[in-house]
Amino acid sequence: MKVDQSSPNPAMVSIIQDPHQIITLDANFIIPPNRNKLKTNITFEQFRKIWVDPIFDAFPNLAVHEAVYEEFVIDSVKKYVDEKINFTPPKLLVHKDSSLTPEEQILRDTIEDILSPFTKYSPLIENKVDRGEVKSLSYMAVKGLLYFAAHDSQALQLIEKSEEWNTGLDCVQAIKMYELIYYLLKTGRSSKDSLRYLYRYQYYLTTQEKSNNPEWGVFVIEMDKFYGSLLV
Amino acid sequence: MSPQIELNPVQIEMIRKLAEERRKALGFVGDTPVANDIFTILDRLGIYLLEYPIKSEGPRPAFSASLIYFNEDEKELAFLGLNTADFFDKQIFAIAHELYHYFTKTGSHLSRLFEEESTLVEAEANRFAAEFLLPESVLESIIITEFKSKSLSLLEHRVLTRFIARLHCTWWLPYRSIVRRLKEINAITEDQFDILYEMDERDTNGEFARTCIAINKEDFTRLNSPTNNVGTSPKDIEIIIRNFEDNIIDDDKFSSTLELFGKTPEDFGYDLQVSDEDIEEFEAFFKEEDDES
Repeated sequence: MKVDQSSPNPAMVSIIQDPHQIITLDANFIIPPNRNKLKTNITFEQFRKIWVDPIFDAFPNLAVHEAVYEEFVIDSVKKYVDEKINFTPPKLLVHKDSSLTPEEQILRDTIEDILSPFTKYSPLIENKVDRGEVKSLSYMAVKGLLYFAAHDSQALQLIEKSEEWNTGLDCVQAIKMYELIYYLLKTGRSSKDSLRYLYRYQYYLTTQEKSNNPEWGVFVIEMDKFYGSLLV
Repeated sequence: MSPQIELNPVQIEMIRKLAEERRKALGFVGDTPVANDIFTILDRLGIYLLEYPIKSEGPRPAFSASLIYFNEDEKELAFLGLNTADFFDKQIFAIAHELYHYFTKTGSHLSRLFEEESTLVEAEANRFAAEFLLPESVLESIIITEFKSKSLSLLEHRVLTRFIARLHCTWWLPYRSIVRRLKEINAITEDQFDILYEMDERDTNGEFARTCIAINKEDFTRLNSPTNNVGTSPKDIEIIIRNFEDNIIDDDKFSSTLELFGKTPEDFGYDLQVSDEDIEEFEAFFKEEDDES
């Protein structure tokens, strides 16, 4: 996946200034990643320590759509998520389609129909592939929720190319994993070494990625130019 | 016959005309079978074909075919996914069925053949598929020429079976579709239909299969076997590569999608390998983190 450092992300600026805003997460922000080029992959316990716990510490109003919640099928992940949801007050909100008014449901269906051809999800057969992304984004567009955090090129493109592809997601803004890796680094919420490994694992692993993306040191310097002054 | 939606004469006539127009436009005039040319038709219509075998995992049949189309920059894009774990004759019928949805723009669609005439549009699509592969007028003409009658009601069962076997091997229409077709034009009686529909056409020891094998073993075997093809056209592969180049799919998805079709990123000049040094380093890091946990 490409690391884009051509300009600052307004969504990133906004959540740095006010981390209490609702950020809707895609499943891959909680389920440990799996790079199929490696024999050994990161476990949930490791991912939780390096990434998930610090993210929950940093942002008090995280949310997932119920369709994304259904993707948490690994016992350890589900148990963790359930604890966050059942905490008082909840540390993870769940967006439910049942909260939509009849008018909002019609709008949601329309947006789903627009989004699904760009994905592998089909409202016709209600298959699981890309369902979480389509349901999350449709819900967010209807409810006017602003920030979607994801590590999935396709989901991110639905937002970033909303004008070009007429996806109806003009109000939704994407936050990428590498931006939050930088945020956790600068706010000291996770170990520097672990975050460096996570960055390399996600963005700087294959020969192709190494030719496209900046190495860790350069990445941090470039991010500092955009956000450094906001994080002192 | 399982409960089916009955099309009225106006609907049938519209489908017949549509099939006739499309056959003509594609160069299939009169008694020219479409048969294997159905794949060429997809190419001519610019429909991207993706072939992959997906076996049924439960009592419900796996999908037969799936059509997705949309417009981008006023250019229409259409993809047809074909389950090649299905018998080849059903694959052909499934493509013709999806062509109805494509021609009439009745929505992106997934079909399980013979299971879902629960809606009018599915009944229409099945009728269109049969009409497109073997037009009613041609079938009637064949019957009259051969039997000097519009009706086959007085035919001996074995003669009728032999006739259907010849139609099957010539027109590449599934057995059950031919039987239905004969009933639709009232060439056979309700009783004949019930007896024919009860037969297991794939049973190589059965009457129908044995007759087909005697007539044209090669075609029968082909039509009654899954092809299990995994494939796509160079144009489709190009779309996968462009999606990667445009960052619509990431490295891992690019690799795994190409792998479905027996190809690798390296085949197209992309090096997605991870160095041994990095692999060792990551493994050591994960182990260390694990020990700490």
